[in-house]
Amino acid sequence: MKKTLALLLTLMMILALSATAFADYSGTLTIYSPHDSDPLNDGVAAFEAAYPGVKVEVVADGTSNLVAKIAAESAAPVADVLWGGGADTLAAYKSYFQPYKPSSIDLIDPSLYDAEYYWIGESPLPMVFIANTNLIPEDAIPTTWKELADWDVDKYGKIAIADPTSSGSAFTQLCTMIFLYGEEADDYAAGWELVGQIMPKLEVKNSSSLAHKDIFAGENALGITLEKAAIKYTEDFMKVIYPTDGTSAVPDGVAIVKNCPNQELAELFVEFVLGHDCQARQNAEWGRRPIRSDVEPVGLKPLSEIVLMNYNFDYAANNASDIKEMWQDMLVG
Amino acid sequence: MLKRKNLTIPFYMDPWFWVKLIVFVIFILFLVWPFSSIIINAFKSSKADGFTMANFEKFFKKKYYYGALKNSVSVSVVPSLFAIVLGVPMAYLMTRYNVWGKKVWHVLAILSLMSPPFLGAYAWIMMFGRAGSVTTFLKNYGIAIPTIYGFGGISTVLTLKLYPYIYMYTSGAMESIDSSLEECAENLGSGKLRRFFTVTMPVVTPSITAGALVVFMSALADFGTPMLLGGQDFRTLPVLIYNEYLSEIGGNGNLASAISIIIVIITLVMLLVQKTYVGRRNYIMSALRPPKMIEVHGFRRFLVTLPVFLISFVSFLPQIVVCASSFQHTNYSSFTGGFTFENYQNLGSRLWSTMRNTFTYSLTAMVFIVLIGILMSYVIVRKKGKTGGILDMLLMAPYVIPGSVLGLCYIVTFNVKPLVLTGTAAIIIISYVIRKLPYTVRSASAFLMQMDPSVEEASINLGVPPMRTFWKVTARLMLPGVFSGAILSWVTCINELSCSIMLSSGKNNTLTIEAYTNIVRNSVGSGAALSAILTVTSAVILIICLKVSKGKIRV
Repeated sequence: MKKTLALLLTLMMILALSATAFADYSGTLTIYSPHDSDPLNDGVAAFEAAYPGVKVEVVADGTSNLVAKIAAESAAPVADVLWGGGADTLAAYKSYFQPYKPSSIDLIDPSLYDAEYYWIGESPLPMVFIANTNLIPEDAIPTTWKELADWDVDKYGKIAIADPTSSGSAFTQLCTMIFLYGEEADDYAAGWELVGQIMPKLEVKNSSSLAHKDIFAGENALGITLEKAAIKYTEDFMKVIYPTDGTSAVPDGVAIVKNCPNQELAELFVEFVLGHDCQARQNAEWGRRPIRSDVEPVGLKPLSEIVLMNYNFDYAANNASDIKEMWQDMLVG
Repeated sequence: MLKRKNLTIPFYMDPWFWVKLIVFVIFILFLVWPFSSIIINAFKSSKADGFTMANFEKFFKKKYYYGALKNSVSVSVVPSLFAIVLGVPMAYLMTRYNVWGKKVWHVLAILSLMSPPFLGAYAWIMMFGRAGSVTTFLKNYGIAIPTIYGFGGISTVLTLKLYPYIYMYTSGAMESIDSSLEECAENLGSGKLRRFFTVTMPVVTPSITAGALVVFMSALADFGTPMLLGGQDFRTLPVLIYNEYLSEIGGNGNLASAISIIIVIITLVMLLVQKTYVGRRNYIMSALRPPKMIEVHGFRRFLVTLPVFLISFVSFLPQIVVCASSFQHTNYSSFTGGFTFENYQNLGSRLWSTMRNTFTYSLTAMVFIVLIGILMSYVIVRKKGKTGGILDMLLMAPYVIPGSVLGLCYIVTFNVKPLVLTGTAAIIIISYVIRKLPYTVRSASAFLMQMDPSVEEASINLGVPPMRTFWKVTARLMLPGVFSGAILSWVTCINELSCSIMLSSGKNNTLTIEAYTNIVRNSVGSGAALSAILTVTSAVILIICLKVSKGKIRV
């Protein structure tokens, strides 16, 4: 009798344990995401397969629209998680997110997440140049930010870049140039001087994807863009350049919306996105650079071979409106 | 005796009082209230307490901003003028001559109006950009064409997209001219050209200016075209608003609000100018004898057809390009040629839910637009006075508030009690009604202005109560005007993007939203396929409308 009771108890304990382990998560999770449809759909499908009880609603749009929506909805949030969006953007909208410290935090470089865990990087994004060798001979392609100042507009047309006043990635590119050649002590004056020299060579595109699409289309010979966009072009005439005087690798991040309707599922999704499986799969299938130190990037230049600079994240976040205004004033002369 | 009795009825017995009240409540609830946040924000600043003019000061001090004001005005005025140059002759030829393939050109003109702006500009770049197909083709023969970027390109694209407004408004008026007027002029010895400029033109001028006003406002508020064709050398106000409001690195919402108000003021000024102009020249037609169609044959028929063909075909080109590209293979974010159906196969089952959304939302909105439109245009035209004037202003306001801004206003206003609407279909439908009502009211008012009030007066004098007279006589006579406007409203609802994308929660996506999302998410193949479906669907429905109404409904 005692034996049966013990057996029953053990059985019950196992059942209870397994119930918590596979806690039947259920409900609806709303994800806002600016990711490309392929990695986005694939990531969501994998999540739904892992947690069959959870239904995921996706709102896919540009980063700017999504953060504006999150800000406007803050009284009664609709979204649970923002998956994607550059860290400069997430930092600017920090007050609409809530901190969450994921279990895999030790595997992520501290420069790639918010010190208070408001957002966590999920994929580092080195800034690169992309060139169309049909329009420019390979030896004429600039290999440093500095060389952009010597660009021959008459010969090769202007260099495509997105608008730093509206695009998060272009803002990061602008800051990269400033930080690379200036000092914080004098508000990066020397860096701004370089920007002043480069500016007449630039063609600002209002839509950030045009800074790489227009290179492929042959509208411009050279563009400044994100690695994740540049490496999608497998054609021989499309060449990706990692600037040898240094570049930034500000990540795309994931963040939980403040007072979101489904806190538990939101945390589950953040864990999932930062998990080994998802990181490895997003890398293998869609060429996205993993953030975890225990996932070796496949098909990408290792970060150790890229000259990385020290990106002053706090300065960029605290002085965003001044940097923007400086750029606008320089633009109209 | 009877008249005196009419005068003394209490206001709550007058049905028009209630009509005005209901319309006002709708506008206050869904326009004034949400938009008041913009007005308040424009006079606030994160750097100062209380109310301040700082945002306006900044706007007029910094070249970056006031330069855009100049650009905006020039890309609105120039297309309005060129649209008249294209639209009026086309309307004249189409209403007076037996042009070959008349219905085809008519449908093409309307379809080109509907081409979603983001796609239109994209298609023009594919043809006339620096690496565009036409540009490279001509380059082989040593012909260089001017750049599509900047002022010239934007003006051309906007003219070709918006001229149908002038064509439609004008041809409506030209068809309802009483032919006895022109015959009089002819009998008195006036030549064809003189007759056109001294008789025909003055009568249709209110319609032309009404059309030009719509072109001006559409061009002023257009965001997709300057977004793609502007770049750093040519910024317009809507692009600045977008950049300030929806900046990824945190924009200046107060400044964006101030810019929105500046746009609204420009439009109100134009509206007043147009109203005073039309107010001075108002001609009433009984339209009992519409003008006769002139039959020409052989080469002359070719001559009258050629300009119409050229105008409508060129303006429809973007859609042809998009439909053609939807059958091409794609890699990542670009078309690579070849022929395939895979873009359509990839759409899957989601297509049906977006189709269902598109039609339920736009058709529900239509019911309200027609009802409110008939009543409102009557109040504005026949019950001249303060109420009519204020309504006319209110009506134009949503037209000039950039869609994305209104969308944000709606989210902020309607996601708190007492009225929680965010994420529902209702809020999308309401935004359609408020934003697209002007087409119907404008068209119906223009029609009503030409209608002789003696017909309704006769009915009232014969003892039919005013409200019954309205529904039995006036509303029926107005129907052609209402429906021409309503179909325009409907078509623009289907193609609406900037506002509904802010209000959609994913499951409420319409065809246009889905097409746009696919293109920005780098799935251009599906985007083109969805746009092609959008174009074909709209074309089919327009043709059905024209066929069923047997020409009674003009679009």
